Amino acid sequence: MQVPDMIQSVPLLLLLLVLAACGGGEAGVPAEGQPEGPVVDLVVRSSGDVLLLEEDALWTSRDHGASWESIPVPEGAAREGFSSVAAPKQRPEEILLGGSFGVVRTEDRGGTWRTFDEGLSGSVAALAAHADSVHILFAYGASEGVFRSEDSGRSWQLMDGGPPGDLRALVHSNLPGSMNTGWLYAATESGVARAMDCFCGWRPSGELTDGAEAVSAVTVDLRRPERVYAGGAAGVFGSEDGGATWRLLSRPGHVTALATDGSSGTLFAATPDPMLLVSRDGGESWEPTG
Amino acid sequence: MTDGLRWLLPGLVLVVAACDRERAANAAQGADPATLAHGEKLYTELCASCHGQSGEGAPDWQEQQMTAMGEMPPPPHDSAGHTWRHSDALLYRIVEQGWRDPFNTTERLTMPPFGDTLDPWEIRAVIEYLKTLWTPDQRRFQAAESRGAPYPDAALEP
Repeated sequence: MQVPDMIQSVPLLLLLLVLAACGGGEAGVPAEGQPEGPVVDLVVRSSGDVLLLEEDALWTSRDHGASWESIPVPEGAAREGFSSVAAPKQRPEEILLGGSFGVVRTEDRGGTWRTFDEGLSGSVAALAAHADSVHILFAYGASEGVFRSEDSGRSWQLMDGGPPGDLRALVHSNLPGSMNTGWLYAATESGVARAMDCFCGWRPSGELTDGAEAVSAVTVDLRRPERVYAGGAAGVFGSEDGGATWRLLSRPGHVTALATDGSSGTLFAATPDPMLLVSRDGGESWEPTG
Repeated sequence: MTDGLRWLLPGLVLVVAACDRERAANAAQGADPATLAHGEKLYTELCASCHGQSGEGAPDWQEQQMTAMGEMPPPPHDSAGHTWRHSDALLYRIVEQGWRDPFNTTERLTMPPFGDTLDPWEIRAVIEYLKTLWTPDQRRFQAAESRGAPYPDAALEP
C-alpha cells in the first residue's frame, strides 16, 4: 500500500474505532470445565435447551443435562455474582442476566454483553420473560419492587413494590382470566404469591400443604398454565388450578431452582446434591441428569 | 351554484372538521364538565354501594383475601386502587360485560354487567368520572395504556 492510500484509510480506521468504543459492549468469557453448582437459576428455552446459572458462570445443555457447554459471560458481572437468568421466547441468541450489577443482555449467545438498566436501580434478584411476548420482561429489585420492560430490557419501569416478604424467584404465566395478558407467580419466604400482570395487587397463591411456607423456586407448565410448581427445603409442590390449591409431590432435597420444558412438560430441579434432577412425571419422581 | 353557497360549503367542511378534532381532543384529554357530572351521578347511583362513595373500595379490600362467600371484595377506584392501570377499552368492557376474578369459588359475575342499563356514552361518562379520582401521574399512565386500546366509537358521543 502506498503512503497516500494509507492516509486515505485513516479516517475510516478512526470511524471504526469510534464505533467499536461506542457500540461494541463487553466480550463474554467462557468458563472452563463443567458446571458443579450451586445452581442459582434455571431456564428451559422454547427450543428445549436448558440454561443453568451459577453465581459466576452460565451453561447450556441441548440434551437435558447429559452434557454442558459454557456460554461466555461478562467478567465484571461474574465477579459481582449472578442471581437470575431470563431467555425471551423465540429469541435463541438472546439471554439476560441479573445481579447486583443490574441487568446485562447478550444478543449473540454470550459473544458480547451490554448493560441494559435504564430505569432500574439497585441489584436485581429475579428475572422473568413474558410467556408469549418476546419484548416484555420482568425484574425484581429487592430495594424497590417489580419492574417491567416492554422493549426487550432496554428500559424498565417500576410497576409495584412486589409481594410482601423476600421474593426469591419470579415466573410469568399466560393462564387465562387476567385483566391484562397473564399472571406473575413469585416464590417468597411466605409461600407462593400471585398477581395479574397489570399489577393490580399481589395476593397469596393458596397455601402449601405439609406446614411448609418458604419456597425458593417456582415454574409454570406453559402447555397447561393452570399447572404450577413450587420448590424449597420441604420439597416440590404442585398445583392443577393455577395455584389455588397445592399438594406435596416429592422430596428430592432442598430445591433452589425449577424450570419446565414448555414442549414436553419435563421438569428440572436444582438441589445441592445432585446438582440437577429431571422429572418426566410431573414432579412425582426424579433422577439425576447426565 | 351561487357565490354564497360556493363559499358556504367549504366553510361547513372546516367547521365539521374542527368539531371532530374537538371531540377527539375531549376523548383524549378527558371529558367535558357535563359528562363528568353525569358520570358522577351514575357512579353514586349504581357503583358506590360496592366500590365506596368516594371510590375507596370495600373496607377489607387491602387484605386481598377472599370473602366468606369465596369472592374477592370490590376494589377501590381511587388513587389507592389499580383501576388506573387499565386502558379505556378494558375498563369499558368490564363495565359493559361484567367481570369475575377467576379464582373466586363462585361462578357469578361479582362485577355485574351494565351494558343493558347504560348506553355506551354513559359507560364512558362513569369511567371519565373515575379518572378525576386519580393522581396526574396515574392519569398519564392510563392515557398511555389507552392509546392502543381506546373507547369504542359509540361511546364518544351522547
